[in-house]
Amino acid sequence: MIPGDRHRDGLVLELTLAENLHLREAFDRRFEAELGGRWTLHPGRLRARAHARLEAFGVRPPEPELPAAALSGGNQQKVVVARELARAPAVLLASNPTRGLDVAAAAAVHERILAAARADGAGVLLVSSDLDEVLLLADRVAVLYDGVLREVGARGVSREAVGRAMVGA
Amino acid sequence: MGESLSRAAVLGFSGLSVALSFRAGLFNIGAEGQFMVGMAAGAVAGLKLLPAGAPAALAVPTVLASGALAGAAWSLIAGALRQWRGVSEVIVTLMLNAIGILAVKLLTSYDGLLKNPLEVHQQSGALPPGAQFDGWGGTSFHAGIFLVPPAAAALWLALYRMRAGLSVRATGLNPEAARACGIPVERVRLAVFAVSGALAGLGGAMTTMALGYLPNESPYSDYGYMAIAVALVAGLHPLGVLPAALFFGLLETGAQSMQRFTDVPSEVVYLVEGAVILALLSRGLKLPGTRRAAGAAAAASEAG
Amino acid sequence: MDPAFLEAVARVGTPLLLAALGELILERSGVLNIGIEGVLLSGAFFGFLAAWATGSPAAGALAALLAGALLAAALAFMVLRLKADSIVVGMALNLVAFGITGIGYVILDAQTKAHGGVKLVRAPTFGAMLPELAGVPILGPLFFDQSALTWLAFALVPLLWYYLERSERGLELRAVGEHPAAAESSGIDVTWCRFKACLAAGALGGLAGGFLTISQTSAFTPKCTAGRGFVALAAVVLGRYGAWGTAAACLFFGAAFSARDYLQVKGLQVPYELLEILPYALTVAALGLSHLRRTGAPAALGKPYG
Repeated sequence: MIPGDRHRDGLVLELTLAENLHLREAFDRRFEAELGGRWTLHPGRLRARAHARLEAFGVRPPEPELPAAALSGGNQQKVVVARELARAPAVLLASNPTRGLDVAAAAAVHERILAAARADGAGVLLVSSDLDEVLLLADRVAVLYDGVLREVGARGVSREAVGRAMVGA
Repeated sequence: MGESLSRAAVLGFSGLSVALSFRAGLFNIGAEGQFMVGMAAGAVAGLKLLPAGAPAALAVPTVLASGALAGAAWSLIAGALRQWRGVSEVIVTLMLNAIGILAVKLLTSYDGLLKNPLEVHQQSGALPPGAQFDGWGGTSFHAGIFLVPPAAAALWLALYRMRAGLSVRATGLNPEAARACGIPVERVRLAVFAVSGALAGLGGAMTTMALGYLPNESPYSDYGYMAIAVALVAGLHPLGVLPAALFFGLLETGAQSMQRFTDVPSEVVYLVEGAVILALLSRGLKLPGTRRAAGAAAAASEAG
Repeated sequence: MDPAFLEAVARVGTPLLLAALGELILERSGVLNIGIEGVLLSGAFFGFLAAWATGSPAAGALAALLAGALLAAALAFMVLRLKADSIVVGMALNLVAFGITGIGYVILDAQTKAHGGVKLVRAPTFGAMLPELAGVPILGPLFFDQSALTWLAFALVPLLWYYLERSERGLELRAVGEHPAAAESSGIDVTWCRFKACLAAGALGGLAGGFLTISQTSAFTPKCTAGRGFVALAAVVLGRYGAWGTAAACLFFGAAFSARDYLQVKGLQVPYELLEILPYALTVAALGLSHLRRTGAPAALGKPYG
């Protein structure tokens, strides 16, 4: 899940990037041996994995020991995306994943979400108030109007069709 | 020095208790009461559970464990009320502190309970020799003091090198994010209530063992509140609690000998501790629970 | 019911009522004052000091009020200005008050011993003012053998209810406690409003402490407030943050504490400590039985703003 409000639901700003990146995996049995022992976490291993992932997702600076609060909004969001995609999820729920990001950071996040869907076969449910983002990423587009979810079309659907559905026409 | 160290040991246990609670974003200010029930439970175990000739190898762990269990249970009352009834732990722990203090008075005031009928003072009979921490060479330096550094080290290990610790810190700093990541925030909070209560209770049991009996009131009254100063000076860091507790232990004995030789009353310690907390807070020291609230407000204004 | 018992309930309930009503104003504005115990204690000490020095109980009450307000102003500065956590600040203020009054007591004690003991000063009761009325059976002691502060405390209950629930100013205060951002955007100065609430709570808390030393016991001993501030805090929660509820909770505590002494005098064989535990245990139980989310606590209670 990529929450819309990264400061409230996504990151623990005072924890390090290494810790933030492992907030899910640390409590997932499958990664037990990789991260330490039955009860323990090995800080060196966390750091090494975090460093590799920060590099891979283009987070600047890729310093695992920095607190998450030290990063810009775009880089923070990349950290959230990196964490959520780390376990190769079968389903990904992304809520306004690029809100407040600059163009380059938004593009990087888009690329990652597409890669998760195309290469790893994840089902992605994108909820967004950014029409360009929806039209760019979505295979199928639906509009929630007056409590009813109505499918508008598949990839390549026109902006006008979506716009009409948004006013209930 | 022995007196300073034994005071520091009590402050150390309560300081660790407060530091852990605050780290998890819980305002458990019940160390005072948890200490009292730990003291009482240690005495009950020593006097009613153990045979008089119990060897130290059996008696010491039994008494300490009783104190820890009682402290944990006392703290969990506040935890459970917060969890299932939405009642602030602040009020409940304050009430439980009052009850804990009175419960010790009750136990030591009546012959049918723990009061020693042969004793003029209201206090319990002597614990079995195996369950006492004797002062070394006529000082108040006793073996129980050696329990504090390992407890601090264990807490440090748990907080910074274990999965459980990561979940505690994440819960304290940002419960919403922790919950979104699948951390069982409610269970973590209950566990922290239990462990911090156990730490304060251990201090209580240790005190009973060092005295050799259950007194009518704590020889270290208000240390549960002073422990807040200890924990804050330590930066809520378990290993920092050790020097902080030692500092305040020395301050306390220093103030008492000062009172003996000069006209400065020992109450000056309260003033110093309160002033230290205020000074730290005014220098911008923030606690896990509060920083998040401010962060959420900032995030909300950013969104709006 | 025994009129002596009722008289005791009103007397014992007075400081609780004064302190809890002050705390109620403060909490409805969204600030929590754990330092209330310290506020009471400063009021008790400085009230006694002023009354002893001047020989006037009115001067004592004024000093108590000012001492309480001063400590509450320190809370306001830390919490409202520096955005420090109110619970920790409150605890620190308690320690500061323990320290100052403890030191003050030692100095005062040495002074008075040198001058041949403390001269006791006691606030006059209405009974003393209107002796003919105090003689009326049952009602006499209950109504006219009470100090002016008791009358003030009870009169405050309906006034505070009207202020909080019916007046425009009270609505503003509640808005600040429930949703400070919304209050601010409708033109209310949140910090100023909370600051005024702090001063009012401090003044009432100080007066409550003063009552103990100039009206009830006419002596000061260290920590003589004996947790009454914390009891007042519980009364606000138990009273579900309303004026009438808080008053009822205070009278309940007053009755519980009076019953302790009353039953002792009547020679009932109940352990004194057990009677003392009872009100606290009942509070915990009552909080446990209250329903989740219906506690009536202001939404922004204890949360920093701005």
